[in-house]
Amino acid sequence: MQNSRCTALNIIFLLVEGIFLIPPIALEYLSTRKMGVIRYLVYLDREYGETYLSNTYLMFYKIGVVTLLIISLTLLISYYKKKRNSNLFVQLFLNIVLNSIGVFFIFSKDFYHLNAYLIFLASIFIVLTLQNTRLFIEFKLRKV
Amino acid sequence: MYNYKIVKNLGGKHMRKFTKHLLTLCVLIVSVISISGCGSQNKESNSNSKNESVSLKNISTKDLQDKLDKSDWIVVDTRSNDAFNGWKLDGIKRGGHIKGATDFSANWLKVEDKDKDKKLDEALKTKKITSDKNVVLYDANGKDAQDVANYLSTKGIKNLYKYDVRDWASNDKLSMESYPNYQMLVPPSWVKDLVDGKKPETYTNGKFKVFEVAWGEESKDKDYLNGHIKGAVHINTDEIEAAPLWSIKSDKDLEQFAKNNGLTADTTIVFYGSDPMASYRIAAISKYIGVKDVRILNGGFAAWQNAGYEVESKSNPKQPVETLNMTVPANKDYIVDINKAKEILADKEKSKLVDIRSWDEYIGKTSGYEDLKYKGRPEGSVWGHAGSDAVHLEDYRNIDNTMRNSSEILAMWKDWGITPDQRLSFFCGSGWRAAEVLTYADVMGLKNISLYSNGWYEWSADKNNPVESGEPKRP
Repeated sequence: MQNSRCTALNIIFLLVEGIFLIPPIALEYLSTRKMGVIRYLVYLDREYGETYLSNTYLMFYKIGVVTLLIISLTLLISYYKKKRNSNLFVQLFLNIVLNSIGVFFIFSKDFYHLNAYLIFLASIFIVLTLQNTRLFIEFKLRKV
Repeated sequence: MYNYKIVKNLGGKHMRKFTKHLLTLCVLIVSVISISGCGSQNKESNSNSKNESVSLKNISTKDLQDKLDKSDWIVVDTRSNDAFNGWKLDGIKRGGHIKGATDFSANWLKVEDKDKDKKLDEALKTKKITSDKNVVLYDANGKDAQDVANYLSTKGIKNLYKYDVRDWASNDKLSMESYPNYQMLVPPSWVKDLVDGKKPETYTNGKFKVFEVAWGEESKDKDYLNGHIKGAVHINTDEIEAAPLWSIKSDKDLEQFAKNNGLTADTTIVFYGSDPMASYRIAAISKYIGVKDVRILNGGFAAWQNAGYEVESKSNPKQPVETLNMTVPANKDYIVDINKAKEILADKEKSKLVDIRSWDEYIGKTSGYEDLKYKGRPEGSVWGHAGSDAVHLEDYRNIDNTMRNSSEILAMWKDWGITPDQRLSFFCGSGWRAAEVLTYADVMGLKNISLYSNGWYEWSADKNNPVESGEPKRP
């Protein structure tokens, strides 16, 4: 019962995370094909970029993703020694992967040129929030 | 046995009933099919009868001359918009239209548009082509007038006459008028002759370039990739305007743009695009830079396709030049900045800052753009009509995207106190719609005209600029 509940939760969370990744990919694709899309992205950048892409905020993002990554790694190592629960490990592993992607995205200057950079950033943080929530639920369910 | 017999009899009785019902059903189905078949045959025969030519009475040149000023007569040019504007097409001796005639091109009947009937009805109403009038339809190819007559007869317009305008054109004493700068809008046949190495009417330069204009890189421009006019080079509109306000680039950048594309003063430059507005935008800027002979394909790429001319899909590289042999901008009054726009606004008597945006944008109901949050208009600007939204310009175009009749444009403007003797500066959001209207004003021969290119994007960005909204008092 608990396994099927976990599987259902996994599927739901993965689907929702996937859905949040679609808009930035679609907007980035369309930004070189539709004038209205690039103009809108430029507008968003103008409106929100100065705040949410300021150096202070970028510093917070970098600290945030690195911290989450370190926490996930620590948890994986400690629970690997204590308890071998496959679903928990899957969630922890997924957390590490997603956090690594987040770290790579935020630290790498290669992505700054993306037209939908702001949208990508927002989507990644939503996905990380969802994944960490999922991990938290997993911990609660397992009462670890 | 007895039971079997009963069953058999009962079965037989049921079978007969069933067979009866089945036969009745078959007869019903056959009847329905026959009736509907007859109906469709009737429809076919009705449409066949619609396709049959309406008979037209001929009218002589003398009679036509007499009837021109009569209020119960109307003379209609059924040729292409290009012929109406001034081009000598179909072997005619003089270009242009009979003075006093209106236009209703047979080409409009071939356009595929979901609102075609509604738009054509509106055109008939605007041009006062009504059933109580005697309607003279003229052409030069013996076909257009008949096509239009067939259409008008379905609208209940029965008093129809036909006339061959070549007779009128061959007599220099009879008035014909064409737009002073009709040559700026070129027909597809003119461009075809140009790219085939011929010397079409009004072409004197000896060298030319054809450009396909659209937003975006060539590699992403499917219209260009799918097929373009032979020799056409792609221009990305981003070459002349920049984020975040999509303002026109500096004169230095425009000079570089001209060099990159080989836009010299003495080269005939032809612009076209699937979206005609983009080509008008670049055309206005080219004229500002100093290109003397700027032409735009009237009706856009669709006009070329409808003419059935071939296209090529190979990419043509830009042919840059080292020097332009002109100071950029050579025509600096053609595009004005915000300071000049304010000066125009201040001169209420002799000048008008004309808003070429939709009504909803003008009254501040919408900004018109997803990436522009400010609504309203520059205080003191007048509405010059436009279209339904930021990417349409129906009030200035015929159904086939050719230029609307100048009398109708001037009548539209007159309602808002805009007259051709004034200094007129056109603006919209970021200069696209206004560039097209500027070109039309140029074609019509207006002198003191300009484009306030940066438009509402720039005006609204500075809170110190005076702004108003709501419905204004009509002049």
